[in-house]
Amino acid sequence: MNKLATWGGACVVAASFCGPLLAQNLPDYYPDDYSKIVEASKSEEGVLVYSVMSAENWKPVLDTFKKKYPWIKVETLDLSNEIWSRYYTEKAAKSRTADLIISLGVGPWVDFVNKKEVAVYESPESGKVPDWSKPFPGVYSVSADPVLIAWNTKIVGDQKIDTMAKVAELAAEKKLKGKFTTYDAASGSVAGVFPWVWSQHYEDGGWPILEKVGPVSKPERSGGQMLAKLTTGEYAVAYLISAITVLPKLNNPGVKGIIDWSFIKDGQPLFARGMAVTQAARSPNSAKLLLDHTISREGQIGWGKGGMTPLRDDVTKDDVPFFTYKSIVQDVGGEDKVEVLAYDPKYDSAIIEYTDRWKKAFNR
Amino acid sequence: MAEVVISDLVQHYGNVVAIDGVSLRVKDGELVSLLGPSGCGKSTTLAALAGLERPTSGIITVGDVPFFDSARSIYVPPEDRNCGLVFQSYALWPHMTVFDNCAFALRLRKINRSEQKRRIMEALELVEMQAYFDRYPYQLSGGQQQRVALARTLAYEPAILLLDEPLSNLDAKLRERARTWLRQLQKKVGLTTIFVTHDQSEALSMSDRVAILNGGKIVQFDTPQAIYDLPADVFVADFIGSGALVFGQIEATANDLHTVRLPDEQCIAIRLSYSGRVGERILIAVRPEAITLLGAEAQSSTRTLMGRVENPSYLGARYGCDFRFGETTLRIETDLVVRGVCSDSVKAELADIRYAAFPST
Amino acid sequence: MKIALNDVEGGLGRPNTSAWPGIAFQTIVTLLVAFLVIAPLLPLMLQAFIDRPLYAEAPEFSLAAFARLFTNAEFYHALWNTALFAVSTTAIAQFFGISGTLLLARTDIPGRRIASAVFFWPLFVSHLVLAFGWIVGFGPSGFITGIYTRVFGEAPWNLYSMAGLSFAAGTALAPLTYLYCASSVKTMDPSLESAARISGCGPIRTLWSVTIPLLKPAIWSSASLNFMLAIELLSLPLLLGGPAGLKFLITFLYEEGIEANSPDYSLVAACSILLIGIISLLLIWQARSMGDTRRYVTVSGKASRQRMLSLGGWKWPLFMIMVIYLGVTVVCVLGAVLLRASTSMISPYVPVTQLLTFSNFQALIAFPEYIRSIVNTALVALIGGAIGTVLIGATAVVSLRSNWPLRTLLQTVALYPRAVPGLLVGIGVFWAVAWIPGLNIIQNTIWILIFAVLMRHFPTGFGAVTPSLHQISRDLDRSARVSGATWLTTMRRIVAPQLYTPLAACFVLLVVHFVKEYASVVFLFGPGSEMIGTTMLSFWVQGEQGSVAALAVLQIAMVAVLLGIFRLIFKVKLYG
Repeated sequence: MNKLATWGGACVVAASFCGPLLAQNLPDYYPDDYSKIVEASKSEEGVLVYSVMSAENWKPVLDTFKKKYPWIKVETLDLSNEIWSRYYTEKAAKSRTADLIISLGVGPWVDFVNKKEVAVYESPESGKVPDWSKPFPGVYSVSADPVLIAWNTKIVGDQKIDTMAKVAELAAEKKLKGKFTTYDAASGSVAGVFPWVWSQHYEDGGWPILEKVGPVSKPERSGGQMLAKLTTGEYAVAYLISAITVLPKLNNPGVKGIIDWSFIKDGQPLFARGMAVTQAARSPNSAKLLLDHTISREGQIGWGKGGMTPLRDDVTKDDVPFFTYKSIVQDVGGEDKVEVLAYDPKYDSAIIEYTDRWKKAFNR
Repeated sequence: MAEVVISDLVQHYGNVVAIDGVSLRVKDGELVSLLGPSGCGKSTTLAALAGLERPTSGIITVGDVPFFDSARSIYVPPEDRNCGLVFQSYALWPHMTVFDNCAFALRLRKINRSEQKRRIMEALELVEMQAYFDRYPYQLSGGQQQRVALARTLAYEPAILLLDEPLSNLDAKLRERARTWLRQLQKKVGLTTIFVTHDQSEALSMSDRVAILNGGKIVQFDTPQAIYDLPADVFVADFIGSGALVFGQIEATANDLHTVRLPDEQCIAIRLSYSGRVGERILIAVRPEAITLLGAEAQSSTRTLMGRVENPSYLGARYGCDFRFGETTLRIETDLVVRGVCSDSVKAELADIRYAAFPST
Repeated sequence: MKIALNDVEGGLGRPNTSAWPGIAFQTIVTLLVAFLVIAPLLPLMLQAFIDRPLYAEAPEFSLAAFARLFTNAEFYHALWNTALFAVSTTAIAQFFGISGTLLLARTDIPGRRIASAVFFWPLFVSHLVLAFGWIVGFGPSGFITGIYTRVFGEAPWNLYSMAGLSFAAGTALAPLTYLYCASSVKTMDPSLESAARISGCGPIRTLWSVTIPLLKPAIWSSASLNFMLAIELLSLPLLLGGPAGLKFLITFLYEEGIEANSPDYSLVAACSILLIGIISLLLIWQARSMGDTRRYVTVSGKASRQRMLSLGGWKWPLFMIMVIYLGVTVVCVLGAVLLRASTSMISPYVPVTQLLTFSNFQALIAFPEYIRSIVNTALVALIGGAIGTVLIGATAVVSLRSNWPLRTLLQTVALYPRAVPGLLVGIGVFWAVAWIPGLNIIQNTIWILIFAVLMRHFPTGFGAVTPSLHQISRDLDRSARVSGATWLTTMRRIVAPQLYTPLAACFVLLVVHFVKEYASVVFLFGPGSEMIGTTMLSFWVQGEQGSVAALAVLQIAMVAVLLGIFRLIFKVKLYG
């Protein structure tokens, strides 16, 4: 009798410990049938994500995801615009392709939506993220990454270059000729979207400023390139440079003490990175779980640790090493000072005109 | 019966006619050589026999088996013909020992190991190379390689043996001995053998019969004696042996005795192989050994020639000199002491044999 | 037909002379090679003539892509730049290559043994690494530039210009000219030069009037080879041309095909066909005017002992020039890579010694992606090299040593990939694999990478085997056939054993090229099938120069180790 009681009691105690371990610790606003998705994901082969980040960006997010769903294998393929053509070609060939796509861009997303490639899914976290981060049904945003102005303090001195207007002023200085850099919109890729979004903030498209800085700038293909050459003094000022490439490196030897940066107070572009589950997904349930995780509080904090900018309201600046959407809005002085990437349905044709004019301004 | 019959063999290479209607019948056990200048088609004929070239038309039969018959679209590939072929370059496979070289064909025929060994050693003994069975070709001299090449073909008992200029890569001294040795070997083994050469002394000394080719055709196919003594045409006469072709005009005929006027107005009466008409211009083939120098006191005959002696040389047993009559100069040997003699009128006599003669075109 | 000649004698059986295994072998080899070469080219050809991507529904025939191409102003800029670049690069490569040949192989200049070895180093290194090395050494913020600026003031050179780009590319291709000319010079009859010297010509004059004219065939064939290579170079124009604002046909294709928002596939295909067409014409012209000059490994012909020309008073000045040339183009460039791999930054504000670190190498093993790319590269190189060598050997004997009716066609097809730039091979393979039913199982595996690199470098390996094949006497084949062996048996037992050394050289050549490869795989890799070249390019784009340098050092080390091992095992010395 006593033995039975002891064993029984032990079982109950054990079960009470196991319970929380087995139940997925889901927030209470998750639907009751969510466990169906979790169950279904167990028979899938893992998630293939086509994205445009780096392994360092992903790491904290994937670490926490693995704790939640240890049986799901996540593979990320991080490229640039090629991910779209890969997806379409692979889908047409009926080979395995991305279950989830995370990418930055306007045109490709508009095309993707028009082609009905989005697997429309209402995430339980949907109510917790800002409306502007859900541009299309089934399309969410992972982060809202800012671009900055960064400069080499050894060349420019003590001044704080916190507006594009100031950059335009500096462009007139003779000794700084050829020492400005930004993304090369003429290289016909994602890079074009950076000045595009910034231009949307201005009635005149910001051309007066661009036409001043263009002639003295040497555009680059990537933020990493810009930072590397900024640090060595090949460039003096990098404007509209993606924060992800700058902020994690600020403490590196060789960068520390040389590079300083600022948000753009006269119009801060924020680049929402779009995300959606694809029609051709072979592991749609695993993809949904990952999607939900990336916009959950835990996931968003993970992105923050990885160098990106979380957009959830319930993530504060103290949760992450760098910034959040809210904190940036605060820093630049209000929502009217930020320009979030918007999905213009006429982007494909508008960008051609824009690029042509940009090329003229930059002598390319 | 490994008799070889070739009928009307023709081979074109594009616009070039390499073989122009060659017909040949080689008896079983016979040693026949194909002789001729380069480009005459002899090597091509051999290659056609071996199956390495596919002729344009004609028939090749070995034994009673047709190897090639253009009319019936028969073409047997070389690996099915079971011929033996020894190359001028010997073509020993450099990565194999002598033994393995010989074993190759036997292995293909699925002969078991001990039987292989027996046959190979037998073949090597025939060519006296049995001590070298584990050497590699690069370790052998030219003559040794040639013998191994021969043993390699004998090991698998081919129906016929083909040799392509087998001795031309040997130095002169070795060549003499090799001729004799090869001939003896062939007689011993009794294989029908056809070999190609451009060296007439080789062909004449070794063969049962010789086929002379020129311009893709066989111009004469006969025993060495017949070819030497009675060449069939001007080409053969010129090609075989040393000698000269002498112009002449027939003055009179009586059976095969012809009176011929030479360009320098001398007249001789000799027997000719060709029955010409009076007044016809002909060429007479004269061998140097047919000319004997006579002393001044010797009697003249209808076969006497007058000429000059020039460039005498001492050969030890005899003397050599140039004998010139008319426009013809022949290098002859003589017992007369001609050293120091340079005379305008020396008498010489043509031997009383039948001379080959041809119409002069 | 079977002959019954010897059945009655001594129990000698008949060999099995069925020709079917040989025919089957020849057919299979032809099909494999045809597939390897044509499959990637076919979608490229088709795509140029339809109005929408290949994978879309119901494509229609259309020449609009060509219209778009020819009305695209950028295309003409790119075309002009490419032509200019190719000409200047070839001129520079020939100048230095020929001078190097003459100095190092014909004169008594001191240190020529070491110098000729160093001269070859750029050949063992991927162009991506060389481009990177030039930037890190001589770019506006490079090591050497920094030193020069501190000592002498502003540096007179500008790497990001057509001149700088051509110089970097030309000196990278000069070793190929040297390869062609040096092997030609070594088999030259020395009495020709001696005759000139006896008649009173000084050493320089002799070199100019006698040696160089004799080298004409080698000079021309290396010039045309370098011209074609210059057209298809990807890394140097991409990395150096970008900041200079220079566009080339290859970078035009790279941007339109890979980076663009919505790639205009038909345009890419149209431009690709144009490019391939131009190079094909060059190849035909070269073959017509020069005959068989596809030689990569120095064939050991009869090298007669040659008297070196004595330079007299010119010796030391020329020696200094040679040291400076090799110092700048090889030692500094590769040294810059090594230095960058060991530092976290190049900075004019912080002394180098403070920046030394191992962290770049550590980063390589920190992430599984990077370890995978190293392992994959080794796998692709060794497996691909083995498969390639076998296929090349088989193709060589079928096309050059048989009566196969399609043998000339086979040889042409085998050599055709020379006309296709690496980038287009990648694009073509990608489309082929996506489009040909059943082939998509190799997507995102190392097999698609092997497919691409094998197609790209098939002619290279083939060219290493064919000269040796020509030197094997056909009498060896013939005597085997007469002994009763079929064609296949002859190839297997007689010809193949003679080819061990050239096949080993082919294997080594393929492995070295596969380790260096990036252009043809940049479009093909997926998670799990990365290669060092693609990872380097990714790092470069992300601005992680330290990691690029670390990988570059690793790649160089891999090639050096492999070459050393092969030298020991196969006794094969690559590039003389």
